[in-house]
Amino acid sequence: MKSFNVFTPLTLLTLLLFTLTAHAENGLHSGLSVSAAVGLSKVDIINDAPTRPDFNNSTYLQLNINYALNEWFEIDTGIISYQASKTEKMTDLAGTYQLATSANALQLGGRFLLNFDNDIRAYFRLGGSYYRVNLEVNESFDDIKESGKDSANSSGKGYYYGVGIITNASKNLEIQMEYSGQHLTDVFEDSSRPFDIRYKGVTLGARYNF
Amino acid sequence: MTFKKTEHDHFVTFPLLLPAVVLSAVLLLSGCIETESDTPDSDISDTGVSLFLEANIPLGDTLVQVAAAAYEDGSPAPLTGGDVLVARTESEEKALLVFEQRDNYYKNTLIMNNPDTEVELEVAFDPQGTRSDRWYPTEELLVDPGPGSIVGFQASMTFPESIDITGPVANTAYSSRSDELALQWLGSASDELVLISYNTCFFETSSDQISWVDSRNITDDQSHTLTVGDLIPEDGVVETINTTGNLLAAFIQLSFSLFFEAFTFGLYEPEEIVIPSSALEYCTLSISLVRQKEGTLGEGVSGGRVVGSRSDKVVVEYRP
Repeated sequence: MKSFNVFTPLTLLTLLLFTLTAHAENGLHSGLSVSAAVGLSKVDIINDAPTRPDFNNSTYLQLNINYALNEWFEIDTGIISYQASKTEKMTDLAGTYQLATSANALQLGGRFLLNFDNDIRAYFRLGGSYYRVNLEVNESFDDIKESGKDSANSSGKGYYYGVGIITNASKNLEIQMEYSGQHLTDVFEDSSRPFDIRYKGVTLGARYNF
Repeated sequence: MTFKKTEHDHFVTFPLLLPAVVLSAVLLLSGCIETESDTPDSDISDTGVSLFLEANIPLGDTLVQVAAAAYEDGSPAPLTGGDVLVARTESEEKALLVFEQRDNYYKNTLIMNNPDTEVELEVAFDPQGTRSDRWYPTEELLVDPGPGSIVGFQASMTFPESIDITGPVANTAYSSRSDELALQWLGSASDELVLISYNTCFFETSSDQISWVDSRNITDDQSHTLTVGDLIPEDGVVETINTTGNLLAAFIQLSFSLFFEAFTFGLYEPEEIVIPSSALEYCTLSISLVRQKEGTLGEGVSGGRVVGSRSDKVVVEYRP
């Protein structure tokens, strides 16, 4: 499976945004906005296995570039990077094992906005995603056999959603808080035990309108 | 530790709630509790691997209970990293499961319609099968340390004639510690006969109860008489089951579900106690007779024992 670097396209987009910043400083909104947020997410694994892991929470970084088609709808694009989240150590007939998972995803969808007044807006966003998951296992064997670790990657499709509120901080800068979910479906789809990963979390971020 | 030796055979007491006591039996079985009476078991080799295997068919049952314990260089040695004990009857094949994770005692129950056939045991290397309950695809992620030194070991065992307890009658109530408990049974003798007694006493003034396991080897001549006081002494304490073979026999006789139930209640320390008749409401004595037939240890192990056994059980009461 090929890997992708989510930060390369961001560099190109950043250059474009510098150009557009000049446009915004002239007091005109181009319809383009960029936002960045950090969050904390619960991680759940969904499949029919007899055991279920308990991952600790994952911190994540979310970057979005939106383009407003009108007052209430925007095209929503972004990337999201979930940092490694670990399970407790578990034991079975083979030994003691602990897993860690991390994920990156590209997002494409729409954002629907609702104006409450001039200072506060609410929104709902929804779309599809393309993900890459890394799963790592550490295994030990009571010091009877040599311990070690192994890892594997899986790519696939999923979907995301989010609801949030935006409030103005200045003419071009807004603060936003969001509750969001990311559902990565059929991870290791061709294996004997595929699973879904469900992230649910809250973010706090800033948005700049050009 | 607070155990004291007496003249009684292989006996241990715990002043515990019932589940805790069953757990104590587990601890004894797993070697977690050391007592003054612990003695080196000559069947466990100081060097190399020792395996204890027993398959037992209770009277009238079409199931065989298989248990095993593994030791290396004289110490408990869990099978790990894909090594697994596999038991096989004429009807099915199953892996033996650990009672407590990372323990070295294993047990499972298999269908066995014909007790005249063999039970085979093998130490296999099955890295996928031993991880089959994991939630992720182990074929994608696997730390494989390779097979252990005893993989490939095989043993088989056949069974002695069945044993059928004819006396005392179930639920017989005895009123004095001096009462004779006359055991009688049918069936031809084999290599060994072990008496396993799981005793529980209830008190008039307390909701607490005491349970313990007792084992002793007796002669297989269809009768054996002992007193109630031999099994329910007035001033407790004594000596634990002192051979690994008898621990395994007791491990089989106590139900797996009781073990799991007990485990949820946590750990308790054993204490010395007395059991005066005046405070007792009653005691139950679940007595199993286990007729054992020696099997042959295969190559690749330094010590241990292989036994095929058949058993019968009777429950009586002591009500002073």
